[in-house]
Amino acid sequence: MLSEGTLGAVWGPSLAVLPTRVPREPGCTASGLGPISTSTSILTGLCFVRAPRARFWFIVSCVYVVGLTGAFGRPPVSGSSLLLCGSGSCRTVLAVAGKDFCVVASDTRLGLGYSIPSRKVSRILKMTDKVVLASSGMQADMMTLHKTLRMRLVKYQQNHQKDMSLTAASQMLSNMLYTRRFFPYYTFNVLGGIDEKGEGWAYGYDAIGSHEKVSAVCSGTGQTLIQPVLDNQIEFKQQWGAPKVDLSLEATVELIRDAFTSAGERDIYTGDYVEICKITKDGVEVEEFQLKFD
Amino acid sequence: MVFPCLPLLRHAASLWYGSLCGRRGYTMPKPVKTGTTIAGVVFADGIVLGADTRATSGSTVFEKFCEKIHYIAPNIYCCGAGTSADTESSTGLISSQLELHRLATGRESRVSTSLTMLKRMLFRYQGHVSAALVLGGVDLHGPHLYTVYPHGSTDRLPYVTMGSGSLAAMAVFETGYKDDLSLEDAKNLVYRGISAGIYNDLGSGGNVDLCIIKRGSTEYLRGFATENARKYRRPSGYAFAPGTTAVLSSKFTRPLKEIAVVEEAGVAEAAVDGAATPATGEMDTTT
Amino acid sequence: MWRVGAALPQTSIMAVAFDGGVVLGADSRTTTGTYIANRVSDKITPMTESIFCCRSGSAADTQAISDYVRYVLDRRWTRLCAAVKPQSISCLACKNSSFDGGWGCLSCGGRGSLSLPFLRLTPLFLASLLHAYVFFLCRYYLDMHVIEMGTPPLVKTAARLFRELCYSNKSQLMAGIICAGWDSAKGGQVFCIPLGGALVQQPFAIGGSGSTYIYGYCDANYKEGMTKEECQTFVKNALALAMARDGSSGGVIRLVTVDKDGADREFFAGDKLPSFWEKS
Repeated sequence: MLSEGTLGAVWGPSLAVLPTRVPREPGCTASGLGPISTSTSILTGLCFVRAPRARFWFIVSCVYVVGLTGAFGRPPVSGSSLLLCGSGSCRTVLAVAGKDFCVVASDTRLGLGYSIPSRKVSRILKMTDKVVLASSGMQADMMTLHKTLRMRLVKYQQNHQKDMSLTAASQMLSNMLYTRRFFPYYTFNVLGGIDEKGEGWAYGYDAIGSHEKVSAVCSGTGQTLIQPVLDNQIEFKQQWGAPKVDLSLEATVELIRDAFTSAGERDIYTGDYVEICKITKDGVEVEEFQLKFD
Repeated sequence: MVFPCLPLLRHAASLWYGSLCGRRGYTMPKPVKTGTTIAGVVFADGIVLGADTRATSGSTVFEKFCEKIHYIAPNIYCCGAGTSADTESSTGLISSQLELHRLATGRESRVSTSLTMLKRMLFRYQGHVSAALVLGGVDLHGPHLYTVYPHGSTDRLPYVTMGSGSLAAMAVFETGYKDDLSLEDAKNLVYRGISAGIYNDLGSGGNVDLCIIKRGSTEYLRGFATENARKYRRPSGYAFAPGTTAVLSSKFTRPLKEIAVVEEAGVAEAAVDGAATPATGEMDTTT
Repeated sequence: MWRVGAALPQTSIMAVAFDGGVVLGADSRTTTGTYIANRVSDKITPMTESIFCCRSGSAADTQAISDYVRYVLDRRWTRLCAAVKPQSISCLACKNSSFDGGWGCLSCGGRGSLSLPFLRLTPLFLASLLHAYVFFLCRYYLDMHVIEMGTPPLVKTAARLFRELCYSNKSQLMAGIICAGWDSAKGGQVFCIPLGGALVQQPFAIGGSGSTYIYGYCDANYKEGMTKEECQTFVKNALALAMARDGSSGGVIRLVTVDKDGADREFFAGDKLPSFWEKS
């Protein structure tokens, strides 16, 4: 037993120590790739080629993501070897459409098992000034999808000399997902924006391109907690005889903040921050809203 | 030798239940786990125990403010990680046996007694009772701090951590622990250790609970730190006008049993009358 | 994950006999998977004042076995003492002289005592667990010694108790034990009880996962008739080499030297271990 000695003297220098308190400085987001993004692309490509079946994705992604710090948002704890952030649908994204606006939001926590590889990972892609995409699901697939989408958007803009419309973007995303019908991107997307008529709309997707035009949709780990609230508050489901009024932009954002706060109370993978994109005819405004860090 | 026979039966029963569930297309019910950070430190005059307050069921937070520091004896407390039901029942069992032992002997319980009882029980169940414990207390031999693993092995150390957040907490302890800490320093160290678990381990969260055991006095600080209270509520709230819930059908029937209302009677009398009269069926129906 | 040291006997333990005593040594690392659950654990457990055992394998199993063997030895020794000189009894666990003569130490509910009702080790209970033979064996030895009078337990007795438990429960246990000590009949002795439950007496014994790295070293460096100090150095060096190569072993070295005067403990901190060609 330990009665004989002072423990501190036994081992000399102690183990590496993690800083214990949050909040921390924001790391780089998915759009701002770090210095080793090139090697990331190469490795990502390699592993996709080598993965024979969708069910092996997790293993494969775990192998190649180790050490690719820059590409995944610098982790708050430097030197962490827990950057195995390829797997898991640990994310909550949602889109709510109003009469002449749309709000797309996503929390920024990257959870893996019981650890948090990053507290600040953006999963939102601003496709045009009127269309915003948010993806939950596997981090590596989300990055690949967003990169490919960006290329297609630039091509479209240069070929047609105009930005892609909401309906066109929604169909393109569906087509891109369906081309990988038997080796899908492990992403669950929500798309929101303003269409040619100036109306706000949201689109919800499954992993292989099936989509639906709705006024409110949520996907990810917080889906079961948030979707019923949106149905009730946006579409007035289960409210008998209640007048169906359109929420204002500010009221919608308040509802979204509340929905994320509530989901963060009960879902361990939802937390840290929410990025809320408000899409109006004037463009996209991004708000950052803080959640709990535990 | 106390070798398992009960656990084998229990295991067989669970296998049988599992296969039954499988045939009918059900799955085994998921137990509530406390993916936990618990810890303890020996300081100059005693023990400081600490715990977070989150209990999870899969990825869902089952309970935000649960108590993980369990009472064993007035001078002994025990933090539990693992399956909630197992930690609660095993600490409760030992606690009640020690109470009887105190009544029989008239002496203060000893930490090593509770340790031995816990480890023997857990060893008998061969790890099927998944309770990972931090046991601490002060008795006539001074302060004692132990960890108990689900299979029944134990360690005695001056600073210990357990649960899914144990690595985060141990990192803090390995840096900050010194022999003969003052009470304030010990409280702060445990608080920092548990906080490391709360913020860096998804299985842990909520508040920090502390328990300070000194010779002759025990202090249970429930909610020592409450940094994770809800920060935001929608300003407009959620108001539903009366009648929002749909009435699908309505039907009014007479009561199945006759009810008597007796006015201006004593409480006891009213109770007796109310209970007795309908059974006799002599009184007319009143509402 | 919670099974402490379950899969393999992940440790380095060793014992060497010299003329008039034994030296036991062990590392101090206890692991759950890749995590070091205890970096200063004590794997050398006292059975009586002059018999010790080194534990390897599942921590839960070896702790339970050695608790039980100590209980049997305690009880036998207690009865013996009670028959001879009632005043000289003291409990190994709490040093209090309050044995009840039959069921172990009353003052320390711990290691000595099994008097708590729910764990009472009655013959009936044991028989129901199909371990009646073990109990019979213990009783047999107990009686033999009571007849002999005045002799504390032999090292061989303790070793045979270990063997019996390990052999008859081998399907349920993960325990490799080195039992060593001194008695007046045969002096210092080392017994090895490996995984299956064999019992082998050896001039020296090594065990645990770290031992595989030092078989050659031990065979080359062990010599008959080494002094106490030579044995201590031998054990210390061998363990340091094992700990340097085996990832599952490490921490500090604990040494116990037992001779006719009793046991003597030594402790070598992690930064004070012997180094060889590699600079530490």
